[in-house]
Amino acid sequence: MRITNAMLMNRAIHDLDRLREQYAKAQDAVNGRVLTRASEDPKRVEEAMSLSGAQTRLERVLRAGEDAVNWLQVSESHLSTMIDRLQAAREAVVQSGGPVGLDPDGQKSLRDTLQAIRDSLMQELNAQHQGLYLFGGYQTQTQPFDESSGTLVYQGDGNELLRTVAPGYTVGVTVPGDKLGAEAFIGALDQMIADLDAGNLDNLSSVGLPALDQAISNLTVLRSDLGLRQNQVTQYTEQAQDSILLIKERLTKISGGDLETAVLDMVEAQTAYMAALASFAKALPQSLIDYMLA
Amino acid sequence: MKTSLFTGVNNAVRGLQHAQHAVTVHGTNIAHANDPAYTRRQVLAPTEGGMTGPGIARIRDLFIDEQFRYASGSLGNAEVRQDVLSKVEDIIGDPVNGGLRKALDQFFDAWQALADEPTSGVARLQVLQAGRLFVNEIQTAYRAFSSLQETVNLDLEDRSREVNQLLEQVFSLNKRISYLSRNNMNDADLRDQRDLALDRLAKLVGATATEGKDGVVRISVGSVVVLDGPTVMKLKITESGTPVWESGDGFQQVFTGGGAVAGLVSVRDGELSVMKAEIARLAQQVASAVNGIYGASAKAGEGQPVPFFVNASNPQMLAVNPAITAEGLVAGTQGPSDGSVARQIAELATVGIAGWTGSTVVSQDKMTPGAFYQNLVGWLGTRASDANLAYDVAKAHVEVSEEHRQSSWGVSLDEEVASLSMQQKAFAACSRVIAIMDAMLQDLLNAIR
Repeated sequence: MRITNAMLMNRAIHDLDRLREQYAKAQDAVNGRVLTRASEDPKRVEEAMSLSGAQTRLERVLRAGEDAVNWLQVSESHLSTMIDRLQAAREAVVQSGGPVGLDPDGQKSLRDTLQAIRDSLMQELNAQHQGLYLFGGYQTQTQPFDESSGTLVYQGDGNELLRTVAPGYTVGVTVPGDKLGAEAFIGALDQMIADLDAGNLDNLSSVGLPALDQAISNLTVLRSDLGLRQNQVTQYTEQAQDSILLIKERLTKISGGDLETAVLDMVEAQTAYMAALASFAKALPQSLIDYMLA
Repeated sequence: MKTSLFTGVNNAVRGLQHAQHAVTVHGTNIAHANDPAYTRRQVLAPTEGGMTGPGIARIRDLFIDEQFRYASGSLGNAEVRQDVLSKVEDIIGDPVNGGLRKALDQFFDAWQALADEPTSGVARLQVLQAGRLFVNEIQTAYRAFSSLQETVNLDLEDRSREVNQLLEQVFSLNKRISYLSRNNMNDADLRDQRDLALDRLAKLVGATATEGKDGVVRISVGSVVVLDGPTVMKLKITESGTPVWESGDGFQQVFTGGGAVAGLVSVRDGELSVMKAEIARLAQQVASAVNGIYGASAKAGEGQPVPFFVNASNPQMLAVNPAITAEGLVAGTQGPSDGSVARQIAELATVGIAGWTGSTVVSQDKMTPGAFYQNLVGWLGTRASDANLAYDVAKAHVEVSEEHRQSSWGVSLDEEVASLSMQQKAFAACSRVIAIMDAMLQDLLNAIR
């Protein structure tokens, strides 16, 4: 083939262009700028988009999961306090050796104890977390248990507060007040106090204690249910953490995050470019003119 | 055969003239060594007897030209497609971490956060904020696509003007070349100019040229003959943006060519209008799905303003209902901590929305907005990478044909210098011959005295 000077020059320019482009690409990879255009690798870009969408959702459920555990723990601790209080009431009655045998002072002290327990239980029933009533269902801004009318009225609803702990999966983090059996155990305590006042001391063991036992077992069931949920949420949270790690790993992989390879590629491209520059600079300006007709 | 001494002198003078002329031609070649449009010229050897002067041959090969122009038309097409599609990609931005994708994720994420904490003022503000961001991203993209279409239209106008100028130019060159060649005069420079115009026309509209015996070329573009003798068609872009060929008497023929003009039309009516329609579809699907859930519950709720998005069907006017305040935003209808409405909306991002039928880029009727957008970007990416590939292929093809051309009729300085030196020697030799003849004549004259 006949080769002309312009051809040499054109080839040199094309080759330098190509090498420069390679160098720029390698440099982008080193700077972590890959998959910035869909056309680079449509399949991988699609995968990366899907992964990063999943990551956003998992990070959200991770936060929700941590929050859910917090709420479950608070709910559980308030239930535990209620159980402890009811247990204390029960023990007070039992330890007194049976109210029948108590002297009036003992009866008064027992009555005071029961009244104090009732008050603290009422406080627990209207407990708040982060400024929201814990046992009011969705009605978190209204005091759920109200006695202003003389009788105990539940003003909440039967809903549990929900947290999304896995994409598309929610868990209740509170117990709605209507499930606590509050009317029953507060009523039982009231009855026991009334019985003490009226002298119907037999009723305390025969009616009061079984009612307290019933309330304790009811609350215990609710509490263990909360414990189970807590385990479940923790599991989901751990799964979400694992998934996020996997996603990040995969994202790094498909976006060519291998720095050593990237740097090596860049050095290689740079060397090729420099070599081409040097060789063209030497070869191009020469022609027969430099040797003849001078 | 007897020859006189004067014949020898005459021959030597012819040799001198030829060498002189050849030096001029080599000089012209050297002067144009870097001009890609220039065709190398050669001095034809004076034939025995009777020639008036040395002739010039223009080294040109029609077959190679045809190859080059065909490749050039493909390159023109691929070049504009690649250029416009890369601008479309610029509008989309970083497909993974940027723009609309992020806004979409954030929008549904904000609803999710509100679902979990309906009483949080921050979560409420974030829903409104994310809604506005989503709208903003949609509108930015939509506007950018519209203005890109405008740019393509302006570009089409420019290129059609250039096509018409080139056709006029070839028309007038045709006339002058035919005159010069009829009168046996040197038309090489004009032919170089005409070939350059034909190259450019090939790239712009995929024009092909055939040369008649009189040196006049005839140009066809696709199925239309646009330049033939005295007839020159004009390329016109109609009101609706379609390119047509119009003859002097107003008769129009559909443009069926290739090159940059066809590339611009195809990318404008193809990818660009699909992107625009699909972005509008995404906006409408999300807005009406959110409105469907939000509207129904909010109406049943506390008389809060509905819908969440206004102007759902018009991407340019789409907005988060300005009447909705952070406090008034409905997360649920059954109490302050009810997040069921927000949860339903957030679940659109995982459960999906129905009604995508009719879209160019997806075939399922139900899918999540995120998946739809992903498909859209994937579709664009495939188109753009196809365009990149087509561009690379066409460029390589053009480079190869260009090498062919250069190899056939490009100037090689080494060759020219060698020939120059040869002609120099020939000139010296002829001068020497004349000197010898002169001496011989002198000797003869001396003998007479």
